[in-house]
Amino acid sequence: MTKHIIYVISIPLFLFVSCNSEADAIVVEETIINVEVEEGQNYEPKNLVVYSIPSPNEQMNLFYNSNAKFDPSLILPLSNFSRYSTDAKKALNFGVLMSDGAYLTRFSQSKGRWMDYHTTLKNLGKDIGITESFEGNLKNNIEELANDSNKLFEVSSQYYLSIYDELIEKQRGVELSFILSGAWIETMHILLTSANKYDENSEIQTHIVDQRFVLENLMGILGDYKDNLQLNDLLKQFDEICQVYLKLNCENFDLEIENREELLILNGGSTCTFDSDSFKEMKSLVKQIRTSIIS
Amino acid sequence: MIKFAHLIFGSLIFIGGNSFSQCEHTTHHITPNFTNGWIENSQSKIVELHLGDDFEMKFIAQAGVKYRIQTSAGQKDFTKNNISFQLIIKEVNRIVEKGIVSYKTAEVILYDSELSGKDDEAIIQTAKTQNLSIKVRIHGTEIDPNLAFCSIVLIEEKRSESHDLR
Repeated sequence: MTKHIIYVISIPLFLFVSCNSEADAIVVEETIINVEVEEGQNYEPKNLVVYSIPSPNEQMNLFYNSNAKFDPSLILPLSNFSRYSTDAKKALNFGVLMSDGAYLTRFSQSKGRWMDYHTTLKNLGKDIGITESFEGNLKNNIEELANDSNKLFEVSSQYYLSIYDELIEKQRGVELSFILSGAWIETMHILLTSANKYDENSEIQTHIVDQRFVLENLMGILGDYKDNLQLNDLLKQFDEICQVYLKLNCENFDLEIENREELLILNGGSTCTFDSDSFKEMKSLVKQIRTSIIS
Repeated sequence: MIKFAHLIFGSLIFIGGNSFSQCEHTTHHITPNFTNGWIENSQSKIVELHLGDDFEMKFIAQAGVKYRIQTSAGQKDFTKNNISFQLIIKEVNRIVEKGIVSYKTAEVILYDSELSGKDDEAIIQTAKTQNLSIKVRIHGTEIDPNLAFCSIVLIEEKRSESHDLR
C-alpha cells in the first residue's frame, strides 16, 4: 500500500550575486514538490543544492585567449611554499600553487620549472592529506612530459580532478574549500594585475567581471563550512568582494535561445562593467586578501 | 502563517555545498566522447541520493565554450532510464515599487530531457558567461527506496576551434 505524503519545500533562489546587501530586498519564491513514498519508510527527502566552479585550468584557458602576456612576477616563488605551518595556510596556498601551475602550463612557461613545481605541489599536498592523487598513471609520465607544455597542462587538469575526488572521498570539505578559495584569489590576482589599469574595453576585464558567477558558487560551497572560523572569515572577505561587484554598471539584454541542430545557443543576459573607482577597489581588496593568504 | 512554516521547514532540509558520498568518479560510469573532441569538464558531479531527494546543481557556463550535459543513475548498474534533468537559467528582474528595490527571479527552462525525445543530452553554448542550474529528478520503480544510489551529472566541454590559435 502506498501513502501519499506532500513535502513542502521552499527553495530560496539566489540573486545574481548572493551578497548580504542591506539595500535591496530579496524575494523568495516557493516551490511545492509532491513525493510518493512507501508507507513505513522513515527517510526524509532532502533538497540538495550542489555548487560547481571551473578549475584554475579552465579559467586560464579563457584568459590565454584574451591576448594576455605571461608575467613571471605574478606567480609566487616556490621557496614561499615551505613556510606555512597551519593546515589552513597550507591548503590555501596549495590552491595558489595550483592556479600558478595552470598559468605556467597554459602560457607554455613550465619548461625547466615543472619538476620543482610538481615536487612542491606533492609535498604541500601530503601535509594536508592529499596522497593518492600523485600516484598511479600521472606519476609514471611526469618526467617524460616535463618539456611538453600542452601535455603538462592536461596533466595539471587531471591533478585537479583527482585532488577534488580524493578530498570528497575522504570527506575533507574544509580543506577543499580552502584550496578552491586560494586558487580563486590567485586567479583574480593574475587577472587583475595583468589588466593593469582600468580599461572598459579590455577583454581581461570582461573575464574579471565574469568572476562574479564563480564567486557566487564558491561562496555557496564555503557556506557549508561556516562553523570553521577561518572559512567564516574568508567568507566575510569574499562578501566584501561581492559588494564591489554590486557596484558594477549593468545593462540587461533579453535572453534569446537559438536552436542550431542539436546545439542550443544562449544569447543575452546582463553585461556589466567596472568604472575606474570600482576597478581600483576590487584590485586593492584582492591584493589585501592575497597578501594575507601568502604571508 | 502557513507560508512561514513552509519556510522554516524548507530551511531545515535545505543543504548546500559539496555532497560527500561513496560514489565513484563520474567517468567510471559514463565515458566522455573523446573521439569527437569532448573532454571532461571539472564541474561534473556525482551525488549520493535516495528516491525522493531533489538535487540541483549550479555550474558556470563560460562564454564561448560548448558543453554537453548528460545524467545517469544507479546502485550497481547505471542507466539513463530512471533519471531526468532540466537545464535552467534564472533570470533576475529588478523591480522598483514605492521606492523599494526588489529582485524577482524567473526560471527559464532551456532543456528538458523528458521532452527532448532523443539522446537525453543537452549541448549548449552561451555568448556570455552564465550561472546555470541543472535540476535532476529520479523516478522509476526499479530503484529500491531504502538504498542510496549514485546520481551522475557528466559535463563535457569542447572549446571553439580558434582556441590555441592566438
